[in-house]
Amino acid sequence: MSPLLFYFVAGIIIIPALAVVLSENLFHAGLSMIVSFLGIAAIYAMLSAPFVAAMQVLVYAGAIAVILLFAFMLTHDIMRPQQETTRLQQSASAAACLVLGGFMLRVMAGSGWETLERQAAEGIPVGKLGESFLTSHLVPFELVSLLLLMTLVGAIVIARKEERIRGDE
Amino acid sequence: MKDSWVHNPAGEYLNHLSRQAIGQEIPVLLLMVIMLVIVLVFLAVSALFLIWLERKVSARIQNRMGPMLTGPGAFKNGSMWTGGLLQTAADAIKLLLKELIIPDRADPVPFIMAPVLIFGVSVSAFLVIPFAPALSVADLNIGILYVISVSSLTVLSIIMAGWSSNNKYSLLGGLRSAAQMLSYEIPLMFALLGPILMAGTLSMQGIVTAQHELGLWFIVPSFLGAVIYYVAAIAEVNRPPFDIPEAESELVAGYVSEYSGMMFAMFFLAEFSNMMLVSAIAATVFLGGWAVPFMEIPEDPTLLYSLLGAVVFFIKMYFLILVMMWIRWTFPRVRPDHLMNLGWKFMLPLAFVNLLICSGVAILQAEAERAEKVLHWGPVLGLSFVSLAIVFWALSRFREKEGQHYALVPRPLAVSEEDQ
Repeated sequence: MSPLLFYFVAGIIIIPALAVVLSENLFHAGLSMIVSFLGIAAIYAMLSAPFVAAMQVLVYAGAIAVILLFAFMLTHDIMRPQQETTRLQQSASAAACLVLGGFMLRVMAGSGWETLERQAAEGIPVGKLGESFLTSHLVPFELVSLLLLMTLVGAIVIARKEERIRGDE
Repeated sequence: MKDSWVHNPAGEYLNHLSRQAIGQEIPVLLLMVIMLVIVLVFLAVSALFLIWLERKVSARIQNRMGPMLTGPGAFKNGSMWTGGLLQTAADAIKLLLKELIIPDRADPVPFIMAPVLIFGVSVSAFLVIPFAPALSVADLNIGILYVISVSSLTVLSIIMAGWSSNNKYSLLGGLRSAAQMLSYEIPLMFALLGPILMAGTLSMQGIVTAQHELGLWFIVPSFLGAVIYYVAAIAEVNRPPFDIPEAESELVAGYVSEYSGMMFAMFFLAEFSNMMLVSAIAATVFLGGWAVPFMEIPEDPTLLYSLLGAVVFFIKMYFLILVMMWIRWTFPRVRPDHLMNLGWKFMLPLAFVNLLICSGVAILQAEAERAEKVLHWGPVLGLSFVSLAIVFWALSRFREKEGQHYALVPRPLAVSEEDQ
């Protein structure tokens, strides 16, 4: 991986990420987040992990971010996008960022940054990934699916409740 | 290049030619530009032709003549299929000359980016489509996944267009489109999973050769999947009867309401290139792609075989596009709630059934390979029959449930006394 290309892609990730936080316009923040996601996918592709890169685009940029924008469009003030923030919101988010950033810096400082042998250039075959999901990583895989199921059931419960109240009236 | 996860068959061929001609390879950047220009020109010319065809097909179905005056032929020879060939070219020139109007209260950056993004996405998805053995810009080992993931960004540009126009019709169109495309992406992906399982690879070229080795197009064991894919694909490209995001009688033109000139033309071009894209995927995955029937795939494809393959591929692709046009001018628009019911309650469960059937075929294949025996046709055809039967059962449900949940036929506005 050439360093110049890496810095270029890193810029694509970091500059929109800053825009997400600093932009007052909710919709612009959402769009910048998608650009950032695409940059991360580019990094995966450069690391010979095409499957993960495609999943990053499909799941994050194509689904999660779109649902996020969808939710923005359903908010009442969308035609007046400049959202005002209160002092309390700003200080709370600053504190959360500091805690998370400090934690990540600690982890980064603890890592030895060993360089691994470069994976085979053809990338990891998808079949191998699937095999490891169903053998050595079966428990985490099943746990994740359980988590997703719980989210799904939770969403249905929330949606159903509203309907029942409407039915009672 | 050989040991990388991305191959460039067309580029390798061009390099081969250039080595013979001037003794050295083409620089990588120049090669990329050449490839991109070829794909762009193909898409633009093909779209020009398809727009003309669409107008002619609609004219034929509605017993009209369609465009007749522009271009060679005109009225004189009496056949409606020869007139107006250059009408779209004239329209394109007109659109080029028109002013690009950006509404005063619109959000300019997403407004301008949306049409560029929607066309860019469909061009980049086209890069992995194998038109012929040596004619695909990139052969990724995750080919079909790449197409799906890149084209999932289409909905993004529609949302951008809808929101940044600052117009209630545009916004409603964008919202509807987001809901529709997210819902139909899921049955679409599950319908493609079946053939992927049977082929055992995600590479587009690999899927073509796998069908050739099996001796059957994947549409046979996965007929159900092919039908689901086709219906979901029509919904994905927002074509009638699933064009509620731009329903002209209620939303003006939905998310394209505020666009003019070339920016509108980009949306129009993207609609047609997306049609080509989904038809090309269907032709590759379900209809055997470029593999010429009754001919062995040569180890090192000759130019003749490649040309034959391209012809075979384009016949399949344009036929599927023609069917899409036929459907467009035959069925009335689906109501939004019917649309959601059809996607989530009907097509998704059927897509799971299709996956089961395809896994059955995949297991049979694996068993035959393990026992080093030839694959028996009996069980495979039996499973295919199950698939076919389910499609007919599904179609019969539409008739029984007419006027209820799944009906594609809209409920009459006036309720008769018998119904009450």
